[in-house]
Amino acid sequence: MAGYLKARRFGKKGASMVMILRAFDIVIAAGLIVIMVLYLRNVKDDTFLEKTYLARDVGLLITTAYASPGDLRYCYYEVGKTGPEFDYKVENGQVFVKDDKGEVKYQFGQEIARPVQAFNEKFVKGKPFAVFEIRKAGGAVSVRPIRAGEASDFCKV
Amino acid sequence: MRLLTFARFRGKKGMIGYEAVMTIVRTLMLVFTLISLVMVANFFIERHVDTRFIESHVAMNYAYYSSTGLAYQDPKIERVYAGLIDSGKGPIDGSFDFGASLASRAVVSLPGSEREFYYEETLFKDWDFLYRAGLTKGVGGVSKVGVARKLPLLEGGSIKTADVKLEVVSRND
Repeated sequence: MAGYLKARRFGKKGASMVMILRAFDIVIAAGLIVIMVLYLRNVKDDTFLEKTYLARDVGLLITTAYASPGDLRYCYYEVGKTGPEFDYKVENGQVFVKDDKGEVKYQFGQEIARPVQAFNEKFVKGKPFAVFEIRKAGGAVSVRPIRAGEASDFCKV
Repeated sequence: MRLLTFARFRGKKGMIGYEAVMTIVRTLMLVFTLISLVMVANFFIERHVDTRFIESHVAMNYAYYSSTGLAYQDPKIERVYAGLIDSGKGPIDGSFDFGASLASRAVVSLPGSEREFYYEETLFKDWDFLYRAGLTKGVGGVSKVGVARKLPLLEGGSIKTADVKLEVVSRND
């Protein structure tokens, strides 16, 4: 406004040029605000921390099962906002948690003579809960994914 | 600003030149503000989960309480006596695999004798050196958790009280 008033003293051409520069300022500021909002939305939708947490949680549970002095059965529930969002795989002493944004893995401890049986389970998004039954019987630890509706005498889905 | 405008930028061309320069300055300030906001936002975003302490305790519990660890298991009834250390059991290197994520040392002290047991001896000595050198933070840093307890030790059919010191070192990935 001050620039426009000053430009009036020097003619109409000066005034219109100043208006163009002001409009350029506004466009740049609007563009930067949009970039910032997109960046924050990307951070909000990022699932890396969640996948890392889940991989470590399941991995540490399996190692803890080996550490128990006797037999045990444990139900692990993944509670998400809309249900399971990730795919899980256990292979070669590692837990893999994956979605369309990437994969995270974590190595857990296991007995060499009695390793955990491998599985690769894809949970469909939107179905309620991803459930694992972690079981130690006779020294051997097994991890079994249970889908919604599947019969299990111990883990309720 | 008034001095600059009126004394030095008289006329249309001077005015436009001044405004153009100030537009560049304003744009740079806006970009600088945005970068600062992104840096502040990044400062509060948590991407790393540190579970070294929990991993070390799980490893210690495995050694103390599991039948395939150091705990005594009655061969006839297969009952595990959690917390009762079986001196006849050897190192657990060959039976359990933590990957290359941690290493441990157990020192069992009895009156007149002291024995050391290692899980991944070379790795323990290397990482223990890093820990004593103070390299504990950041990727590649090492953490160490140690527990000292008086535990019953089964040796030669009799139970003695031993001082057991268990140290677990793990690396920060």
